[in-house]
Amino acid sequence: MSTSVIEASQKQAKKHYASQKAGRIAGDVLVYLILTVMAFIWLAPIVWLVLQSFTGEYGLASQPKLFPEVWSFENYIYLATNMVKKASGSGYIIEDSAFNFFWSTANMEGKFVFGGFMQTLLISVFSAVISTLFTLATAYAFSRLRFKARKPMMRLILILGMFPGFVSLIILYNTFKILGIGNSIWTLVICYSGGAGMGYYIAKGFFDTISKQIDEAAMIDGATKFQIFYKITLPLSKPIIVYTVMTSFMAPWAEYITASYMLTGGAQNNKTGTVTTVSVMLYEMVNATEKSLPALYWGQFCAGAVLIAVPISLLFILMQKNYVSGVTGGAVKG
Amino acid sequence: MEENNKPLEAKNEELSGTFDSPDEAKIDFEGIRTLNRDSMKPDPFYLRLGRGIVELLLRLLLLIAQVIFDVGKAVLQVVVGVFKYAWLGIKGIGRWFRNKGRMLLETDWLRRLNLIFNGIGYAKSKQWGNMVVFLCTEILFIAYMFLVGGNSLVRFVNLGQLTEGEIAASAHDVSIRVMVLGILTVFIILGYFFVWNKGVQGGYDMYQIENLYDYKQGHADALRVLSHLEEFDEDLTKLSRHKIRVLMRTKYGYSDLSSRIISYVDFKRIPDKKPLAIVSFGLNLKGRFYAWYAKIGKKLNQSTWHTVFAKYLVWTPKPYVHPYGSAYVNNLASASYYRFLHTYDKYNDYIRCVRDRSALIKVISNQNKVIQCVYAEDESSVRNGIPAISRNDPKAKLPTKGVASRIVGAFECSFETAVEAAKLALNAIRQSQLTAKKSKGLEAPRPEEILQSKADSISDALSSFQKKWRDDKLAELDRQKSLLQKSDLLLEMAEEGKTCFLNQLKLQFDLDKDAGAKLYKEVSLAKKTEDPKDNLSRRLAHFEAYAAQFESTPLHPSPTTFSKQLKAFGDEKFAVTVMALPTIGCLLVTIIPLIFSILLAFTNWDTMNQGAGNFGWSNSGFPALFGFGEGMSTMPRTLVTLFIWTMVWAVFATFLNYIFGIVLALLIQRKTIRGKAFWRTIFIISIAIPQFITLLVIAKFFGDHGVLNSWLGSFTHGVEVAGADGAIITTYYTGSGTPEDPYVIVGEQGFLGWISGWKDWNGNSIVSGLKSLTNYVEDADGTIRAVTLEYATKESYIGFFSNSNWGGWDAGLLSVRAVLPKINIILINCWVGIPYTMLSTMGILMNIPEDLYESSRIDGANSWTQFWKITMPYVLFVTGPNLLTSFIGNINNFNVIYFLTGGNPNSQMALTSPAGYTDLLITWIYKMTVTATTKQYYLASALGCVIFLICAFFSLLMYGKLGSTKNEEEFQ
Repeated sequence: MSTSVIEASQKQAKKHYASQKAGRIAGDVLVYLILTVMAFIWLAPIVWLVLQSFTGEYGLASQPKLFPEVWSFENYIYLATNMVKKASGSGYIIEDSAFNFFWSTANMEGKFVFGGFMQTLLISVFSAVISTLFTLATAYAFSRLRFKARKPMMRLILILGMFPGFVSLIILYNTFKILGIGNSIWTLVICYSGGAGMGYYIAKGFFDTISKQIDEAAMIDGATKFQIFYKITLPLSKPIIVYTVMTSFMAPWAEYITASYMLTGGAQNNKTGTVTTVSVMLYEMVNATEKSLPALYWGQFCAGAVLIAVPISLLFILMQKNYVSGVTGGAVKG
Repeated sequence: MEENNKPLEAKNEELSGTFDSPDEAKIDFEGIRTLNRDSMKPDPFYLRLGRGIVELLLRLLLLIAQVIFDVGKAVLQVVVGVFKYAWLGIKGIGRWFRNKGRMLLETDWLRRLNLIFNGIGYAKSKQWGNMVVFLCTEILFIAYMFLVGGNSLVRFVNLGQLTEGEIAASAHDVSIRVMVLGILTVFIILGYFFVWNKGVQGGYDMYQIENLYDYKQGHADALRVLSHLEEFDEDLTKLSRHKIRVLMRTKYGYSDLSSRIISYVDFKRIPDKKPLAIVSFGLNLKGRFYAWYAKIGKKLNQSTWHTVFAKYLVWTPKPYVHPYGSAYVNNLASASYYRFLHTYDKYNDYIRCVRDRSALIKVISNQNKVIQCVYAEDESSVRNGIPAISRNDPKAKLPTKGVASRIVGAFECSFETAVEAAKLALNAIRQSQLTAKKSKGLEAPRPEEILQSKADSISDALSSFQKKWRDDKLAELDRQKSLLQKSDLLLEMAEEGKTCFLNQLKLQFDLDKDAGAKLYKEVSLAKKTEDPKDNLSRRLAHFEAYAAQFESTPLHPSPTTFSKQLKAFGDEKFAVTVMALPTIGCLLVTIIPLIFSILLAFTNWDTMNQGAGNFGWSNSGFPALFGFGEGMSTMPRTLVTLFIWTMVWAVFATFLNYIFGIVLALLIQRKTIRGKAFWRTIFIISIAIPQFITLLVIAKFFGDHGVLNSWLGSFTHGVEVAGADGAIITTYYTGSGTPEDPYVIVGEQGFLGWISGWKDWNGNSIVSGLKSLTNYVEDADGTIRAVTLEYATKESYIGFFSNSNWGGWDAGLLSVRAVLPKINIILINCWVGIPYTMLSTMGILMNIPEDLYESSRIDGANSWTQFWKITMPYVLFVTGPNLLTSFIGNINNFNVIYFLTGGNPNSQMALTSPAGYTDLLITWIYKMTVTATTKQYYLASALGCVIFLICAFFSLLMYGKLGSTKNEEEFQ
């Protein structure tokens, strides 16, 4: 009697587990399916961009093809040598490009002139240094030090963040023009790093997670606040320093509106060597070139985009751990 | 001659060259001519000389104005000084003025001069560094105001009335310079007032210190305090606590909090205006004051300070009445209690650290007593004994807590014991009160008798507990002795080495490393010199020696030197050091332009009206935004249309991303899914690639004649049309009259042709660029009617970002257009934004403690319940604040709109010129100032203010509800 009950219950349990297992497998299959479809959607534009960068079709007066019919590595070569391949009759000619991507010596005076890529590199190096200092200093002060203006300042920064930044860009542009530092890399360095202290949130979230007891112990031993910052907090906060440096280094590469508004020289700078950034240059490659040749720079645009995107993506994937902890940490800490 | 002429010609060309662009042709023509003529023919010498003299005179006038300004400051002080006593009546208000007034009335001439020339007052205390710094700021300020500031202020006020010559030169630049300098000057003046205030404070503080800490008087005061003997008259003028605070902070380099605590020590003034004396202390603060006292007087090192502190923390004072009454003391008590637990200060850090050290546990228990003692202050009756009761309502209950804490303070017994004692004592008092009341009719007892009996009953109760307290104390001593004996046993361990000793301590007594090390030091020291069993007495003797030492040491003030003040920037004022540069950067790059742009909204500055003139309301951007003014009639419609779209966009962009991001994260995080890192990386790649690149690629892909449309078009074969006889008509028949048989479509139209039949309720096709063919058909009743056939060609396209008609409807202000582009933008924004949410949610999901799920599973929760009861609340709590920021960020999302549609499609009829149907408010601003032919800076600024108001509204709505913003400290 009792054994049959047990058997029955065992059977039931088996049945139960079996049905559970079946449900789980069905769920897994569904999830894999959804994930695959989504991965396709998310990867497709990127893959397409990479494929397009290897197109061998040149300077046609037509749109790029969905898939290139001719493959070549030429776009990268022409981008680096500031040349462009243009259709002419049944064949093609190679002309000087309007854009100076890396550097050029073929300008009017025959001088060595940095192109958009190198200029962006300079800008991002300077602004990374300055904005890292500003951000970390502000975050440290808000997280660790207590001073009278702390709360009001945090509130003020919150409020300032609500004004659309573009409006003050107009003023900044005019001010720089008067001061005579318009259209130089410093214009952008100041714009990118001047208000960097206002983006303290993530770094503050990180500093908040470092135990205060360490500070206290140091204080008992007679350390000043500066010593605590320099000898204790800084060595502990390597991840956030790396993160801040990286983000502020990456910002100028991906930023368009400030660069396009502050730098009026235009991106077609092969002859003049005016200051420009990569984003403005790429935008002009797609949008502002000759109407009759809509696809003249298309391949070069894709090549340039890949050249920027690859290192940045690698950096980003390497430090995604920092990013995640920064975002979530900062969120909890408010 | 030729060489001389050439530059002039060049100049002429340059100047006339400016007329070429249509925008600048509006600039005052005459003005430029005049300037031109002037530059060719220099003014005669006498004219220039005259001008120079006039300018010099003006400058001198400015200098005089400056002096008047300085004197004005002093006058301000006088006026304020006169109102001193009026202010004194209102507690807590106008303290600043009150102190300034007192200073003016009580200082010598040097410090009065200090009011005019900042920093002179430091001369008397020979603080040359301070003096130089403050004088330099004064001189710099005067120089700035003389050279730039005054001028720019005057012009700032007269904006819009610039002289002709200035407008001609470059009105645009001049007015910007004027505004920037004006704003800067306002900031500099405010900053100067701040520095001035500091300078004045500094001079006055020195004055106070010198008088307060007179060598002999200080010595005597200290002795008096130490011997617990003194009780002073209560009608002495009190020195304001605020003042003492400032003084301790500035002169002794204490942090703000420490100085505040010191200021709770009551300083009282002797009537004959003799130097001030330290009279009595708040109970809670006495020990601390002694600690500091020791530090000041002897420059003790840290550990010695701790020992002295530990001893004197439990020092019991004479009771006293606080002149501000119980409410004040209550506040004080709660404030100090709060400080004990929460504040971040050198002193409290010490306390908090000490708490962890078992060796100093005694300090902590005493500290708790001290906190309780604070409450004792709220009951003046304890101090006065019975008189207070008889004075007040006899029925009033004596708070047991107050008496009890008094007993704790006085006898160092535990709080429970004290409560018992207090209850006894109070019962005795009440009993005697009742007896007095009953016997009232018979024989009125003399008040002295009542007092005496009450006092007796209290003292009886107290004395019985005093005995108990002594026992406690003895037990404590025994405990210490036993500890020492144990440590004596451990001496053998000490032979083997420090680490072993420390480990043993950890095992046997649960002492942590620091405490152990201290004990080790002591033990090894004791071993060398004397019998360790005498250690306790030796230590006590040590304490006493210290006490005697600093009791006999005069309180000698040492004013902070300049170098000390500089060093403070690495310690107490480290915040200032750290924040200085970021603040300046923020000020220059964000705040000043912001103020500027707000001011700009009140002008009519555009390319037509250069020079930021006509400061005011009627011509400004705000009325224009609401449709007032020439050519602004479509403005309200545009504003409402774009506002609605901005809101719709922000809601969809925020919440779709949020929801689907979480869903995606959950899918990847599902237990049975393999290769989590792989899936995550795939989605992260799209974050990593700069947004503008992906957006440009997508825009190119979906463009009107973009890749997708060309590809779709390549499948479109056009349409072949057959006549009634079946022969194919290859030419298009536009139909000019003769009716024919209806067309028959032969051949394919391809995908575009197929989808072009997909029409909305207004009959608009989703495909643009269709061609049509009209035929005329005769009906049965003989009427002729046109039949239109639409068909797709290779040039047809789906207007992913340009179709303005499909799916829209007309409803006045609430008309909706460009539905297809809007849907596309939102979908593509999902592509952009979902990985972000996924990434942050993944981190949170990983952080959810696993045992939550396990315990809930044991309690019978299925995975659905777990999701709704554990996962979602957790995720929502952490990412809640992000929702707000991303909502605000989406309102101001420039990139997506700009790169995908550029705000198009637009309709010149419905919306004001540069705006398009998919423009957000922020891209509208961009268009106003960049792409529009007349760049309407004032409108852009006004619109910026409107956007700010919108964002502020939503922030206020949501900010208060976010828990993590409320109690920031608790998360740390």
